[in-house]
Amino acid sequence: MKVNVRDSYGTALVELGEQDSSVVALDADLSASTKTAQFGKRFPERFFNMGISEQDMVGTAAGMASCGKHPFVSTFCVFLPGRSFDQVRMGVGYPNLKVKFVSTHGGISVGKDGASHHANEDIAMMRALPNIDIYIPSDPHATYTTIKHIYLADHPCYVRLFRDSVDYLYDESEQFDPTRSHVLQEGDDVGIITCGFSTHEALKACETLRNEGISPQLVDLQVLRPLDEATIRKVAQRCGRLITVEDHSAYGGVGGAIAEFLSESYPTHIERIGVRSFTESGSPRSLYEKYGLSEETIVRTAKELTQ
Amino acid sequence: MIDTNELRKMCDTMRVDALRMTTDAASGHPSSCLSCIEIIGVVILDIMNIDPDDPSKFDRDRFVLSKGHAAPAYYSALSLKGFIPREELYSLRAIGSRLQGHPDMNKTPGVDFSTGSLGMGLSVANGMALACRLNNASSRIYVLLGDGELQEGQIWEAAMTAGHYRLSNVIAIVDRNKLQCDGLTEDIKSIEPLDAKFKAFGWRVFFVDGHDIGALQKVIRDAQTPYDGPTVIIADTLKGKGVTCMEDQLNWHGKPLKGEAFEQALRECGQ
Repeated sequence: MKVNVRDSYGTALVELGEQDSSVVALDADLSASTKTAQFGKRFPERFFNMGISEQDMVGTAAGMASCGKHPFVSTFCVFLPGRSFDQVRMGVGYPNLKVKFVSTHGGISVGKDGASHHANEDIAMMRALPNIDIYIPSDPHATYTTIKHIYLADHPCYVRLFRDSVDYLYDESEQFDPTRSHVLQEGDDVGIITCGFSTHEALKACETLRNEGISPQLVDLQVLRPLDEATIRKVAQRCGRLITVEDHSAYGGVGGAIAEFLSESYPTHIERIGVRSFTESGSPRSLYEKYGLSEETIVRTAKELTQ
Repeated sequence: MIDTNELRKMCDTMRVDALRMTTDAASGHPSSCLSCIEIIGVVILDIMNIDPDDPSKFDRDRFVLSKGHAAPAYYSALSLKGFIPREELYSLRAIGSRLQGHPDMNKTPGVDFSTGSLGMGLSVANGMALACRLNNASSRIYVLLGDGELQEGQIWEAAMTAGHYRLSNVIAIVDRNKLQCDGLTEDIKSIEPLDAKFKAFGWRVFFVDGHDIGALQKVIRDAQTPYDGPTVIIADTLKGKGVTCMEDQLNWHGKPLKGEAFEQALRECGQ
């Protein structure tokens, strides 16, 4: 059964609102899509729809946080941090305020809205700020648990969600640790590190590779900062060659972060799969194929790397 | 309420402080400080409910220096109020100092919010006002806006927010010195008619001579009277006020005084 990770955010946020009256939510006219509307319906006095003004929204949230409120701020990734980066940097990052950004519709899996709405740079922007934790959950259970986890942080956090519904990867009856990367498949030939929506594409690729006699180790990154260095180093040591896959620019995102970390600790050959141009309208499937994020690209890259 | 003559003396000290601090640091924006000395002095030293012995008091008033480059004037007022030792003023802009080039809420006692990138302060003030409203705190939020930064779009997003949420606890003061870095605001990108713009966004508007301490004390108390929305005070000021060589002059933005010009300026400011 495919489920929307955004609903998991909406549910977790309402629960946080129930347990803590300092939790407030802000949105910029996309609350039905980001699911903060659920919070707004339950706590209308603590929900602020700021209209289509993301810069003002982030600044307002920062002011609230400085007076004891705990804001959760949401819109699409293309606008937060895209439209409001200086406000994120100056208003929240620099003063290290307890503001939680949960942005949705990351990457080209947004589909037919086209290049204007494909957030391919948000991870790179957030990664450049030194004190904002970054989470990229891949399924509803991981998303729910991540939201509950970032609530506990006294500093800023960014959670990147995607639009399309997905299958569960993690059993809801089991505890999920949002602070580490998760090995989904064990293998020796090639390590595949991925996150978010791309994890589902990589899973399919792993099945194909196994059928063709290649044994990949698949890691669902889950958290980019603080990086689960032990897990990343272990997969590099075990496989000796890595592929990173992300629904984001190949420049400055997850692949870049992994490459930076390993270049300093365990230099490893890494092929980075990500978007390398501006994009266009199309179904998520057709975009994944055309812009090189599909199962086929992952399989081909793994084969070339293991030859 | 502090006696107007007493405040006059304190503002004279602030003016000298701002000149000395920026010249000592060989860096900073003295002319931008001099246009808002009286505004900052009256708000911080006379008007605000703040306590240096309890700087994070729950129901205190807040001040946001949206034109963060006037930090030396702000630090000087905080020192006179007892938040910062007087001798610390001359650490401005030095490595390791608590007195950053632009205000830092995590470094400097009494600073309510970090600023320096223009156009952001009004949104922050609105957020403080909404939080204080939710907290049932009687705090007032004072925000000092430069006139040049009113060219930033975020200011008008925030003006709309304050009007929409009827933030009667927000009092904005515009330091209308009419000059920005590259020239006259009205030449570069005109911001007038300011009163009509704010009124259209649901604000109550007052005008004042921004260097007349008694008038400032009165207009801020007028701005505290009940009104179902935010209030803006447009303060007519002169950039570089009190120092002949820079008063209302172009090309003085972000330039500290040196040598004889500095000595002359101190004499003009009563030193």
